[in-house]
Amino acid sequence: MTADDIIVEIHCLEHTYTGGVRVDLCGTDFRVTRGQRVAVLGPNGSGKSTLLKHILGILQPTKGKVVVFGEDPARHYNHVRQKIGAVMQNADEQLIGPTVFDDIAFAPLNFGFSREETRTRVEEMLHALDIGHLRERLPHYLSGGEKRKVALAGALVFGPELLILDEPLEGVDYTSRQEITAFLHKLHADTGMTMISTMHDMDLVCDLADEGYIMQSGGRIDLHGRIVDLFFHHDLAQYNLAPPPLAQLVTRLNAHGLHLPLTLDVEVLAEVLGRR
Amino acid sequence: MNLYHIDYLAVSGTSGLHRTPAGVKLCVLAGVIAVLLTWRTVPVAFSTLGALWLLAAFEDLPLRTLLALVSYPLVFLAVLLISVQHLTVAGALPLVLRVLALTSAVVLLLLTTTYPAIFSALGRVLPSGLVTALFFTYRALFILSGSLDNARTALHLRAGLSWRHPAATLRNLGTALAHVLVEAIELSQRMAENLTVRGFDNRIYTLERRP
Repeated sequence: MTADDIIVEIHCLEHTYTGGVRVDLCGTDFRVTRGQRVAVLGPNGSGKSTLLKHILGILQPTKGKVVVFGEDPARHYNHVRQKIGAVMQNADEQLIGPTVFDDIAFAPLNFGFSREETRTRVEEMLHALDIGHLRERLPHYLSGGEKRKVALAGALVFGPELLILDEPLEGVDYTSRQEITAFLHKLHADTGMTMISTMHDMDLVCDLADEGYIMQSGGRIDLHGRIVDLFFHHDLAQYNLAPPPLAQLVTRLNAHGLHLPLTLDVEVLAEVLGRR
Repeated sequence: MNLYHIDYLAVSGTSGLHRTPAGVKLCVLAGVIAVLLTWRTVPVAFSTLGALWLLAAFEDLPLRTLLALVSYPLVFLAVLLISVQHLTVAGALPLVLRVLALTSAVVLLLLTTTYPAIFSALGRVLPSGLVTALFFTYRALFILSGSLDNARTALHLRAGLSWRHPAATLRNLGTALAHVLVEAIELSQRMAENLTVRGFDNRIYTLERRP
């Protein structure tokens, strides 16, 4: 692994908000390498969004070090921002264009793409996310799932190397969840894009991340490991988190002496059980 | 009047006014303001108002919506006129007609031009910081109107609005407005963050409208 492969590196970060609220993200170092899909997990108020805002260069740390693509994102934001696409918690606050087409075109025009190039890229994103029929719709009138897709298109249209997703599927219906998850899966398989996401739904974590960092309520990054290991080898209740139902089932069955493989893949589990 | 409806009409319209560049429409608006400020007479105000409404009718714009939006400032004007002593019809008429004409011109602009196009055109002549502030304010209005609706519903559900208890109702409304104000400040900060992430640097770029 070369230095270029390290996309994000955070060491003992501390942030104090105006008003004195302090978020201490010290603990295990946070490091994301090229092509990784990383989930940041923790209870409400643990500082997950604060961590993401530091990566995006929106916040400047009070203490500690944040390096994104080899630079301090808060100081050299112009150097790194075109490499990062982000979908924030509330899609409503992210959509700015009068139509879906205009909204997706917002970032490329800001980043200096030509109008022709912008149009081409927007068309590609509309097609990729299967939202071509929304092209001339007003963002206010879209459903929650459609708004997320538009926000995602707007975050990916300029070809970032790193995608940041803050609770990407919160408040999204089942069908849209499946579609967005499948899209992100394919995106990672096709491009190897690095992804960092925060989420509460542990089933989604299995779909959207290979590694995870778990934060305490005060903000300290406590655990890091493969998602499977985190779910099977640690007591997540102390972090106010519950493993997904499949992990809980396997753990309980193993407690009854079934010796099942520690997997989050239903197909693998079905095959093992079928053989028995 | 639903704010989103204005947006909808601006985006979905296909009239000649919709196709006219935002810069041209802003120049016409500036001209209307100049005329109304220079010649403060009834005939000039009436002619300007008539011309604007004829234009709206000719372009097949929704006249009811136009009327509803134009009538808002009249409420404030009425309060002003009530406070004037020895007011005569001759004294009030030019004022009412000028306000109506000016408002009609502004509303025609808003109903036929998307808001990024307006601010993009303004950005060529006004300081970028001012245009950004106006842009944020306008965009935030749409989100805050939702918050106001929520606050009103919450007060309703908890019997916070009652004509029988005007003092308590006013107090509750004040509390709700304070809550929305705090929300507005937080919202503006989050919007600024979101736009920064999307490469916004105080300039507004637009794509030409597709036919």
